[in-house]
Amino acid sequence: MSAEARPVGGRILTPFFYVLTLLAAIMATLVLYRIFTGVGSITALTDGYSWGIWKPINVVTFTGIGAGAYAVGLLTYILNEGKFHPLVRPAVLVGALGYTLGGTSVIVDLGRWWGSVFLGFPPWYNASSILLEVALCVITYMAVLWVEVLPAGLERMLKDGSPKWKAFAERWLPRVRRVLPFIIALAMLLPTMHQSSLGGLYMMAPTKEHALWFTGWLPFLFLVSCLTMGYGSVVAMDVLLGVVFRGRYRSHMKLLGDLAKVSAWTTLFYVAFRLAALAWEGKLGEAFHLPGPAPFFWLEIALFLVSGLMYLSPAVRRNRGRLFLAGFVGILAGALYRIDTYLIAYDPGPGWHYFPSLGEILVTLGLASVGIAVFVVVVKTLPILALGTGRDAPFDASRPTR
Amino acid sequence: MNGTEISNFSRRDFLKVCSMAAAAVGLPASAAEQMAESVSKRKPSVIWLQFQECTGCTESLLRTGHPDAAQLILDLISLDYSETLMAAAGHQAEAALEQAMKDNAGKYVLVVEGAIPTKEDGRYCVIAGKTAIEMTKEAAAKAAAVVAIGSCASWGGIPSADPNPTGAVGVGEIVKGKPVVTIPGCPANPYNLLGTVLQFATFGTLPALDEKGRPKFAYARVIHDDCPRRPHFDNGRFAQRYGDEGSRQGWCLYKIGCKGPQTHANCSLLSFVDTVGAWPIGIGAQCFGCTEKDLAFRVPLFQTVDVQGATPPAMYTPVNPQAGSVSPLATGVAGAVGGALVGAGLAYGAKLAKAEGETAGEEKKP
Amino acid sequence: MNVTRRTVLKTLAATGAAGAAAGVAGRAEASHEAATLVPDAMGLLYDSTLCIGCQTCTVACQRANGMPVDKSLVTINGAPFDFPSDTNGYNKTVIKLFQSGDRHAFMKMQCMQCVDPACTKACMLGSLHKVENGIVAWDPIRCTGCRYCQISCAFNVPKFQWNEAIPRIVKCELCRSRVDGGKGSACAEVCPRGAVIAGKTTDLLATARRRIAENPAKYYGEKDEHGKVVPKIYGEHDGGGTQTLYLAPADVSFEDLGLPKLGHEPPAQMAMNVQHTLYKGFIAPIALYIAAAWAIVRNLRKEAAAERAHREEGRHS
Repeated sequence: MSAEARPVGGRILTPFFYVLTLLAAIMATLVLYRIFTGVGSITALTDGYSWGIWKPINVVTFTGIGAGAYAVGLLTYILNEGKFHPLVRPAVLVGALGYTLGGTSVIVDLGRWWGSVFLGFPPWYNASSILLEVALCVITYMAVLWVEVLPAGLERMLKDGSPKWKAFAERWLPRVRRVLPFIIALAMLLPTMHQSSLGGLYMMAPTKEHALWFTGWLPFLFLVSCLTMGYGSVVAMDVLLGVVFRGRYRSHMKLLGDLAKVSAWTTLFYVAFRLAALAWEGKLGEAFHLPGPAPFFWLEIALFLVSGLMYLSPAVRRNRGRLFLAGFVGILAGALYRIDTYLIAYDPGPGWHYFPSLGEILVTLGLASVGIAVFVVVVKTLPILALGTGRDAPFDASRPTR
Repeated sequence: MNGTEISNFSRRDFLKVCSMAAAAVGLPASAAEQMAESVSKRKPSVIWLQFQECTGCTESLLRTGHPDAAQLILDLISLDYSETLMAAAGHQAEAALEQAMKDNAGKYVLVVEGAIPTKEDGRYCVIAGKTAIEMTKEAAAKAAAVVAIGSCASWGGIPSADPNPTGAVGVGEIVKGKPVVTIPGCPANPYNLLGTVLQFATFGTLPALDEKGRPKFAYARVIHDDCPRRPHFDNGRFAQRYGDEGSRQGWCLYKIGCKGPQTHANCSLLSFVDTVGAWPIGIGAQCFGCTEKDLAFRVPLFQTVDVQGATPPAMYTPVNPQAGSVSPLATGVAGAVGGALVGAGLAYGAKLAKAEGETAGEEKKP
Repeated sequence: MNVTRRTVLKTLAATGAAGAAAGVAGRAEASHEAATLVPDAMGLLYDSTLCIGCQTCTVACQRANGMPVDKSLVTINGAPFDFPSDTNGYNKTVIKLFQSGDRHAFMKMQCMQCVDPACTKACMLGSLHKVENGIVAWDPIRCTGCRYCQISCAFNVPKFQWNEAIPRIVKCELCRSRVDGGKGSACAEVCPRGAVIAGKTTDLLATARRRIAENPAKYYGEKDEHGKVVPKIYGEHDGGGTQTLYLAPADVSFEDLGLPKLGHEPPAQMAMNVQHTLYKGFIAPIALYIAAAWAIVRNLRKEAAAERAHREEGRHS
């Protein structure tokens, strides 16, 4: 299943890597400062806007991008479309990183972060708390994802490691492979729970959430849109890797094409459901009500539609650049939906204003940089990407796609 | 009282008093000069009647801090009849009253101090065989202006406190058909009287009066609005009892029953006996509302009253917070970064798409 | 195309099952029961018609709770002001002024002590919880500072100490633990006009009703089902009921005073219905896990068998 996966190799300390390191260093400094001076010292958060961009971007969008593991995993493992295997490992790696970044951001955002150790103490759990469910799921899922990445590390150890590490890998790789099905089952359950609940969080604020976004369908809508984000991220990322690692890695265009079809219908279903739910709840009129956040609603719908319709077109699926765009717009659509739900559509009352501070922006950038940097290093040193031609034919313009 | 001797005081002192009087009435500085000149030509005739009173208002007028102020005041007006101050007594005094009323008919200012009893046809105050009611009516008939000084003359004062056995009322109840200027207070501030009388003498006009006949320049606002201890009220610092920490710090006396919030007067702005701080709140005692008929001698001293304001405080925490700042720098950076990332992605995709199209086109060629 | 359509439908079915249940549950009637008033519930009654804005309560509250002086610089309309602009990390109550044209009224803001609070549902480890007398208290040990309570409170009550390394969530707890040796709500103790009084919520309701009966025209009211304006006690039913109650002057609405318009249902009710239906007894997650594990094991076995067959084929060909 991972026979074709190999480290991409190549220099790690590129100029791009140095830029990422610099951004990460800035973030680390800010976080250190925040530990001693309080959350308010680097953020523009207030009692009205207690959550800023870190929740919708660092936590929900990064994990949404990381939902590629979930999205592709569903196809590969539950629906037994094994052909998608080459896309699984990189998606899982992105997932592991996305969730780690999200988890880190949560800790930085927590005012009394030391209290989070009690998240491991069930007698204190508040069963009514949606956020608790999210927190526990995310922590567990993060562990699960790294366990899913583990085989890649063990394989590398088996191949290139010293005798001691080879022996270690020989003993552990089969064991990990044996429990993998049950780990993967967890990896299917947990995102179903928390990706939906990330939206469900805002069901607790009916007086503050704008009518166009507030609905009992929030968990469902977040779940479906995390799939579209996941597909989008896998599609865009695979095209990108094929260009960045030209000569060493080829994008699996046929697989991406098939993925695009799945994503197209998922995306269009999302749009239809969103509009239908609003119509049923009698709220469509709000979409034409100005001033207000209605334009953002329309932008969301537009981005989803553009992405979905692009996926449907064979011309798009044949063209790397256009396919990349479709995926990229798909990510933007999901990200905008999340930012809108958490910030734009959230109104704590007159008099409260919020715009992210420079510190918040730099921490977000720094975290993203860490994610990208680690991804690049891991992909270059561990067998993550399927470099060989394997089952998947390389891009061939003369061959029609199904 | 004619031919009062001029004692040793300078024209400057004289003008100073006129300025104070003019300022009290709210007239411009130039008015002081005019007042001084008018007075030097012919002092206004004042007939001062006293009925149910303690003479506190007269005392207040006399007890000023300036040197020879009593004489200054007496030189500004021609006090043609005053039972307290005149040397004459008995029939001689009555004759003086008759004479004064006849000589200055239609020109004198009638000042009444003290309440007028009305029960038993006014039998509770009879002077020289005439009841206070008769005396008032007779004097008021030929007066150019009627001024009731002090709370007693304004609305009945202490004599009218429950159960008001004598039926004491203010001058306004007796004199009808003529404006009665009331200058309540217990005692009234002498400069309120002085300003009113001098304005009338110089310009022939009375100051603007409210619906109770009180000059607005002195009685338009309540003590609460001009109180020097107001900042303490606004910030929740109160004395709880005499001599406690708050009391010694000079904090607001509202909670021990200060009637300032409902008492119309200018005690904090215009000093008694020309001594700053010589008024109840100034010495740490709660105002008891001596100018107000509904408060003084009616509402218990330590009972708190509602604060009535025509307008709420100008500076106050608004219902909606004004919280959360938007940093222009952050806005710029966010816009730049966000725009750059999205733009880069779209541009990259477009470029890739175009390159792909060209390659595909080339490959299609045989 | 056939394969893909099937794939899509299967995908949606797999994930939609849970989601659809969520949507249906949102319309389910009270799968989570709303709480009711405990018999000894304590609260405050604030009568805006009596308040004179002296702010003694704000000062007394600070003193009774040992709060440090709030040194944050506040400006109102650009001018510096020496009083807190809102409840915050250092002030559990504050008097505010509503003013519009000729209408004005004072408003005392502090925790509403909801009968069925949203914050106690939101709090991950139960730091915000109900204690004796129905008071909503904050436990520093369990709090992670996540501030979800701030998001879920319709009144924006919980406040956070943004610039502390060890921040607290701060809100009125009816003076259940005063540092100055006194007992009972300090604000009610010092109010010179009796505008805010403390007591059992049932008693406060009776007092409010009595005041309304004595002078109905004095108080703000809303139209009932017959179109008649009935004086309203805010908190009697609003948001499922609150233990702290409000009366407003006739020409000033509760919304003017900053109190949100709420129905009789607690704001968190819908969320709790969805959440509890989805996760009741953890049945759905466990069932989903079993189904997923079964599917995966089966698929992997199928694939392994297919691979073996493929290799056999290759060997024999």
